[in-house]
Amino acid sequence: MEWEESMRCQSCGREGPAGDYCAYCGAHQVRHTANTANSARRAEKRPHFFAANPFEHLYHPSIVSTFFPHLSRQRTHQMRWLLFILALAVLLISAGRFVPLAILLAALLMPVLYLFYFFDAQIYGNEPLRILGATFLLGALLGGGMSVALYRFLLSQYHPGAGLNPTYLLLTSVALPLLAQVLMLVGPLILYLTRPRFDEVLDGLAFGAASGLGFAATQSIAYAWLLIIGPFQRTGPISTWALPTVRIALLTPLLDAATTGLICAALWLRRDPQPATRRLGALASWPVVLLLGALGQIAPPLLSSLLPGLVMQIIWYALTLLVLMLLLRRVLHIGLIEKARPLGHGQTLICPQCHHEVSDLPFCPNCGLALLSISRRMRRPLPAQPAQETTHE
Amino acid sequence: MNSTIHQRSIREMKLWRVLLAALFVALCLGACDAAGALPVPAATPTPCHGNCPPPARAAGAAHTVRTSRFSLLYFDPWSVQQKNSDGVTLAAGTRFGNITIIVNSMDVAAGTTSADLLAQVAQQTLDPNQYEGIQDNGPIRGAEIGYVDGAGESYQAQSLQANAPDVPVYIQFMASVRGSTGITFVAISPLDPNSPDTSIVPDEEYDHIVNSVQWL
Ligand SMILES: [Zn+2]
Ligand SMILES: [Zn+2]
Repeated sequence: MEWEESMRCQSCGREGPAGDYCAYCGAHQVRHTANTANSARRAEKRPHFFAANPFEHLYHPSIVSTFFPHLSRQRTHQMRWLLFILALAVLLISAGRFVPLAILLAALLMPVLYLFYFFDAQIYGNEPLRILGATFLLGALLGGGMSVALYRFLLSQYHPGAGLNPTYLLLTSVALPLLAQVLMLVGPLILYLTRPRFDEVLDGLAFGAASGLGFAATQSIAYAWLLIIGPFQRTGPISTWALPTVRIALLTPLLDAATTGLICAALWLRRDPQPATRRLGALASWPVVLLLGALGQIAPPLLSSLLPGLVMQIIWYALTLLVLMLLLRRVLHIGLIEKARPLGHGQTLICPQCHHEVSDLPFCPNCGLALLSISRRMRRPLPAQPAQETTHE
Repeated sequence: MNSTIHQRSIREMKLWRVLLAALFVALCLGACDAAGALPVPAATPTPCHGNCPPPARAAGAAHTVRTSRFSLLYFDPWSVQQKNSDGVTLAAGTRFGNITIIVNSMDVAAGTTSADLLAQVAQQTLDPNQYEGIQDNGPIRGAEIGYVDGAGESYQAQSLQANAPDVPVYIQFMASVRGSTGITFVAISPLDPNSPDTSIVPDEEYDHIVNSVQWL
């Protein structure tokens, strides 16, 4: 291939188009000037530039760019605003103590955003309904089914006012979260076995997150059943209703999406046939992610029972979610860099992050975006003719 | 080549139809089951004016439980959860979960009124980390324990647990003082005490138990 200007990567030594990043290995060239081994490693691993969104640090705790990494920069902005406005609306409704409405809207908030993402990024290839059915709908069905089936049993085990009961604690904080995690993995595993062509790390994340979000939505609705069929407007302090609504709208669904997405991202990373440039590390091995997923499911309810209170509950959920999100970003970053590959059409396309015209190579040389994180809708090559005219000038 | 791809896609389509059919069946079963699995509380009844049915009484055997300062009588849906020399905790199951009754006794300082004792036990029990949206539903008129006049107060709250069904709780407190002895009664129920379950009417059960208390 020929480029107007070319350069040799100081990391992998390959000749590629000139830019701040190597188009083959993604190493950051500007940071590579100091020739120590440490700075070379940093340039290759580039923690300041998240592979799916180089304008963010790898450990930037952003919900949108972590769970919806296929979105372009502009779409990420729009999604952030949409999430903010919808969450605020749900919060205001709960502050008005319209409890049944607030709970239902809270439970549906993340699923609605996910569906927008699902169709906008065209995650499904040419079979949207099957992919949606196997992930989101199956997750929702299993979440609702499990919660409804166990509802009476859980009520019968709960003794209000009788203090901390070890059996009940083990049941609700260990056994049920583990069962839930297994059920959330069913849908993605069906796709793992039947759809080998979805072999990218971000496919694993998308399927796992969808299953987790569907599961959380129906589980939250089932658990809040007596509140939903109760009075339309309640009394009492606003925090009594606003804080649980925050948990139902954001923390529980994102936690389920994070644990299932983390496990699936690591599984899909291992399945990707592209040979890895370096060792993928422990975080990409399935026993480690299964353990982390299980801990992520168990920690918030267990800590909320041992050190209870509405505010503490929010803190336990938010802290666990934060840790899982950062781990998830690390797995995605490792996957997108170590298993980078071109899109495969061999033509030029417009980078959706920086809007430069780039060749079909693993990375955008201008902004460092891993091209595999571009949504399937945006991967189309540019029409050939205008590109030829500019090269003749 | 083409025909094997064709056959494969047919096989995949069949697999998907089977999966979708299984899902559909599961969904229907779930929906049928949901009506039974998720309870719907009955509306609180209007007070009976005439030609009233006799109060329901479980035809179970009577049991007596004795502590150092009182004894009481309970019937069969109830069982003793905990007991020590000061008091006893009783429990009974309903479709909406378990009702807990805690009857406790203590020595009180001279001049302590039943209202003082009531405030004390209410403060100990209404832990804001355990119950949300605590709401005072007003005093219980004619509160007494073992036919010793006392004070009573009724509360309502929510038990919003992190990973379990949200349960409304109705908490009734009563306290009586006789001489240097005080007895407190706490009932915590997921059922509105006035609203009958098929098996239990909490208010009647509470009356029954406080009336059976014998001061020793
Ligand atoms: Zn390179
Ligand atoms: Zn770019």
